[in-house]
Amino acid sequence: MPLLEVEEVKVEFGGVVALDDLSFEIEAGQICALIGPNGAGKTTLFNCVSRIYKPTAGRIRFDGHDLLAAAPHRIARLGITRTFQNLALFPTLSVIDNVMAGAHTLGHLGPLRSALRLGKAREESRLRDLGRRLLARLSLDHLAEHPAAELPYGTLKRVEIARALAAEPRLLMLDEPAAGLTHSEVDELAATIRSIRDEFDLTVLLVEHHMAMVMGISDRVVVLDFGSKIAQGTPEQVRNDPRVIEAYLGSPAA
Amino acid sequence: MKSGPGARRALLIRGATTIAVVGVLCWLPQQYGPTETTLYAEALFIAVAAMGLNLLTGYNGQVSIGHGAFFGLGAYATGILMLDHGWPFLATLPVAAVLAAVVGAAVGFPALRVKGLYLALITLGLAALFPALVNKFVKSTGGTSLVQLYRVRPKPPEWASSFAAAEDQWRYYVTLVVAGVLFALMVNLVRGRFGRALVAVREHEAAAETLGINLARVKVSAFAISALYAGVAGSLAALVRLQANAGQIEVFQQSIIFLVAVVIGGTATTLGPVVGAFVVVLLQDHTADLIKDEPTLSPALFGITLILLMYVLPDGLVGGCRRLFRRIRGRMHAGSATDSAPT
Repeated sequence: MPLLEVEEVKVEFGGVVALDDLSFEIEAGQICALIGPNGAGKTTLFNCVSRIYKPTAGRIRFDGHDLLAAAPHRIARLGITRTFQNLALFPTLSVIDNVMAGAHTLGHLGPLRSALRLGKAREESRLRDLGRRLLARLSLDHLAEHPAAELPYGTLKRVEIARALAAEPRLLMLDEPAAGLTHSEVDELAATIRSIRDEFDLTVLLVEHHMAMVMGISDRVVVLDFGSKIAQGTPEQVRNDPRVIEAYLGSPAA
Repeated sequence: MKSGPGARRALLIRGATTIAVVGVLCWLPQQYGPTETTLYAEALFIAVAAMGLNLLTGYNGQVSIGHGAFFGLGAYATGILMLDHGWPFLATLPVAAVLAAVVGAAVGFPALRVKGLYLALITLGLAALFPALVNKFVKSTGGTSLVQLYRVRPKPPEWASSFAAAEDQWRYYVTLVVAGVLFALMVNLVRGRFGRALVAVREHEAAAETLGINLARVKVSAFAISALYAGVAGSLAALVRLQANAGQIEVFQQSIIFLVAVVIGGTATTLGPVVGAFVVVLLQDHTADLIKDEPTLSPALFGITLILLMYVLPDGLVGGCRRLFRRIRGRMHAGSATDSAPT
């Protein structure tokens, strides 16, 4: 059974169709890339899965759960976390606090027990250990106490991945993780995505414009254009699909 | 927890500061007369309200300029229970707290739909509504809504006679203990899972939600807890001033004073509201003393001082000190690991 099933999802913004009957599936353990020209609807789909937008029609199922029936804050608990196209970190919090905020669903203490210190020390040290492990995994441990606001862009992108991993997701959605990175950073990122997939038993859904990276790490590629799926398959199949070439390069001159 | 010699030194500094502050606060009523002691007690209960407002506005980013209403609610709960029902002061405290928290939660729900200036306006409406309700429903002696507690005021107990023989001293110490307990609870509250969620919601709602944070629950809880603190502050105010009053202007003024205390002290810092409350109360008092013949000028002087303070220390007294401390430490550690971050 596929882990994520997107079925005939349609999104309209005041008459503009952002996604038009989009359907695709991701098998557990895959790295699946969602590509397409700007405005094709890639981020819109992410926002539907994380329940920031509500589709006009269609179904999204994750591991048998109807995602569209779940409250937005339940999505992380079901096992889906994400990063954002333009960093969405908490700038005044330290790097470790950002990651610990990511582990929100693994904690239990509400305001009352927190104020009375009932089990607080234990929970805090558990979440802190988890955060430290993730930071070490992404070579960020030396920055743990640094406020997130003051760090370079490439570093923050990794902090955001660490934060998304903190909730122990099964599906990790990365929205343009390579955007704004240098060549060597992109290579590192590609290696990181593969290795965390294996290490944390993840399924990865990726929106990306960096074609070399997409073709290098993806098991499957879904191509969107103007809100519709125009091709899907292995990187090899997609690369040679005439419709994809047309969408990216324009139609051949008559 | 953080480890290493730096952390231990920070802990030591924190411990020493706590002892020093507690020491000074305990010593104040021994040194000063009734007028000053009452003034300091006033700073303490304003600090409690400011702590609560700081949770809501500083940490969670929801602006309220109507906390004078929750404050008044607490004051009236205590006043009416003491005067009409003969309750001892301490028994009225939890009632005032719960009442304010419930009303706070009730205001928190509609507040989920609005932000920023609109939220400020709604809370302002609350501050306008409260005195009207009090005037309609509270009829005290003489037919006015002013509740006088002079007849039922608590007396210092026998065992406290060595340090709080005078009534003003006793009221000050009761206020100090309540404020101290609430301060400790607040420190625990903001450092931990709930505190991180508060800041996460303030800084990026959408991201916070994708991490599994229930926005509605966090925001309504922040409102309720914040109102609880304001309610307890009002209850303490009834004790210190021996009256509960809710004039239109007083409720507005009170709301603004809380906000000023939070901002002057430093938003989203634990100590900020306390420092801010003392600065505001003492500043108001001293500017009133400074110009004897021109009483109308003292609010102007107060205002100018506020403007200057905010100009010099935009992130408040505690925020400014923290920045200074960090800069000094940064200079001492120049060239260490944090500067050579891999990118």
